[in-house]
Amino acid sequence: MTLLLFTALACTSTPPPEPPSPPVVMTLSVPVDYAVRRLVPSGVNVELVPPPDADPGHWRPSADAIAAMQEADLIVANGAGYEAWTGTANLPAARLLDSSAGVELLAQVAKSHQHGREGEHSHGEVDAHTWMNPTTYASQVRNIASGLGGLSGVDAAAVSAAADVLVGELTALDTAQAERLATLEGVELATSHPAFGYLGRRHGLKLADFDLDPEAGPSEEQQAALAAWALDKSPAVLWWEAAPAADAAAAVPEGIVQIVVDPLEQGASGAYDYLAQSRANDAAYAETVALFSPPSEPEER
Amino acid sequence: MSLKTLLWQAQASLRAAPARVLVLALGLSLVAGLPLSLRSGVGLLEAQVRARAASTPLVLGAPGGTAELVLSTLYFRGGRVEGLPLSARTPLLARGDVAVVAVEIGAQAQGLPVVGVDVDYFAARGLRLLGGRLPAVTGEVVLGAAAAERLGLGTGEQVRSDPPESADFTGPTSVLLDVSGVLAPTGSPDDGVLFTDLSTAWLLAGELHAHAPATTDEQLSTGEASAAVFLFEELDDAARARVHGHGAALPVSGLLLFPDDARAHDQVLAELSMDPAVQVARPSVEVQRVMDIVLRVEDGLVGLFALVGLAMVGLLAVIVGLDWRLRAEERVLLDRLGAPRWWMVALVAVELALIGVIAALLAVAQVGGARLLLARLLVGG
Repeated sequence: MTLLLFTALACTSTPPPEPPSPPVVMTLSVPVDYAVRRLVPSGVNVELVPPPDADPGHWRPSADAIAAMQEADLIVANGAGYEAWTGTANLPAARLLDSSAGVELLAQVAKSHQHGREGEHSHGEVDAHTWMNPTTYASQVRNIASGLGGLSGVDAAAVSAAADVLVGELTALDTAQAERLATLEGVELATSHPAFGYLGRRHGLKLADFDLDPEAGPSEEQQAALAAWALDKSPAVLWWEAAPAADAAAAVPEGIVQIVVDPLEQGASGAYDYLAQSRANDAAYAETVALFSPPSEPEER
Repeated sequence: MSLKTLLWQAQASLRAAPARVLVLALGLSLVAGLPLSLRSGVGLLEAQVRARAASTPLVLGAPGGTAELVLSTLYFRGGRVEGLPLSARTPLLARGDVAVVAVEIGAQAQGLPVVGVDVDYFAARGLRLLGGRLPAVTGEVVLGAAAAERLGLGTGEQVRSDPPESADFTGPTSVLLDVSGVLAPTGSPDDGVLFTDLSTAWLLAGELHAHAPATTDEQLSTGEASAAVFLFEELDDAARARVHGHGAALPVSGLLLFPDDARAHDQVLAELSMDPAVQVARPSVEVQRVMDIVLRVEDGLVGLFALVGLAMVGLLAVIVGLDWRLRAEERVLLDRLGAPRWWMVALVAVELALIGVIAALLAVAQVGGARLLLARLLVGG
């Protein structure tokens, strides 16, 4: 009888509730995707929205892709205007994490114009490459950790511990960069892309951007501008964002030393690794520093 | 002489003078129908308005009238209110104990309000889609059920926004909006509007704009856009890429605040009440204020209707009295036919009862019609 009762109870009892689905975190650019993946414990679905090799300046998601993002538990953006398409995308403000919030953003020179009732104004106001300075990137990591820690079903303590580790690594990286670039304080460098502003601000570099295409190389006007800029520089150094094509490199005025510095926007070869790629940049920094270091006097016998 | 005979005679008598019957029934139905319609309509209005207010604990807006703020952001009536900078949302979102939904009112399409909202609005109001999806990019709208019915539109079709009243030709223009979905009916003001995202609402209001592509040699060499505002008929990806505004200065009509609990409610209310740059409204309080006025007016009108009703009853008594005199020959005839003396009195009573039944049916129709009309007015569309 007891057995029958138990059997009946077992048959009529409600099924156990389904376990909550794991949180979904969508990342809108590669540098923040790296930080998120370093911080999240297992059991959280992380999805990088743009294709890894997409040009963040021009890539735009489809309307259906944005509709899918509306369902995410957290959307992590670099911010600072890097994902410009978010300005016309209907994303949930409460679940959209701007990782550069609170970061002192670097103003960019923009030409002004006037129309309508707004009077004179300009656009393209800030440098979006916040991650190029490890201390700024560390602030972004803290913001991301705060957002991830607030997700239901995520172990906030584990996220915080992972953030401490990553921030420690970034602090060490910053110290190493500061030692390497100390002699470049006040030095003027040309850049092919306005990607190094935060690094320059951190170490006192004076950067002049010429907006050069590594494939096409400098136009005639850009060649003239580069030549004029290099007149009073010795040495004159140009940092490329990517290895220039042979013709592009050849079109740079003679006497300008060309060095490639990874802007850390995408994976250098294969998977993106912020720390490894940053450390790899040290060779480029060392090459630059060597150009500006006075030749050592031969030792007197 | 039976009751059946009495009924037959009464209906024959009424059919002989249909105009008189209609006037009497209509008069009597108005005596009952008007106050009942008023009571019923006010009850419906009160229930809907209170439910809406109760589901929205707080509304934040720019300093001004709190009633206008609530009317605009909850019921989409009353037009544009003074804008609150969107940047006011940031510290509220950072609190973590208050859900914040921005609402921007002002634009219209085919005479219906186009309401810009954060995408979380739909979950906060419990709105679900009948088909399609929520707006994802600038230029998309999702239709309330009544709006879709009135416009005769569905997912994948387009609706043109109304041109702005301003004559500023460098400002906003009429734009073809893509219908991304249709919402299920709710019987609330959400049914009668078109919902879009904030960027589309700002675009229609002229807060966002786009510049024409670079054309001059100088612009091409520097990559700078033309200063000329690019007026677009329809938004494609290229046009969307050019749409921009000026960040935190963008205004919204208000922020709907949904605190997690009573403590968060009291804290946020206290903090916002001390900020002179904003005003915080409690919709339930505002609605109570309005309903107090409405109920006072209703009581006055019901009193007036009672006086009209008394006059109507008096008029009816006069008509019955005159009718009794006019039917003297009929009484004599009935007497000769051997009808009892009370027969004529009973006949008039049955006639009055039948008129009363017709009046009651008309009164029920009036109340039903009034409720239907009011329900449509409350929903809009």
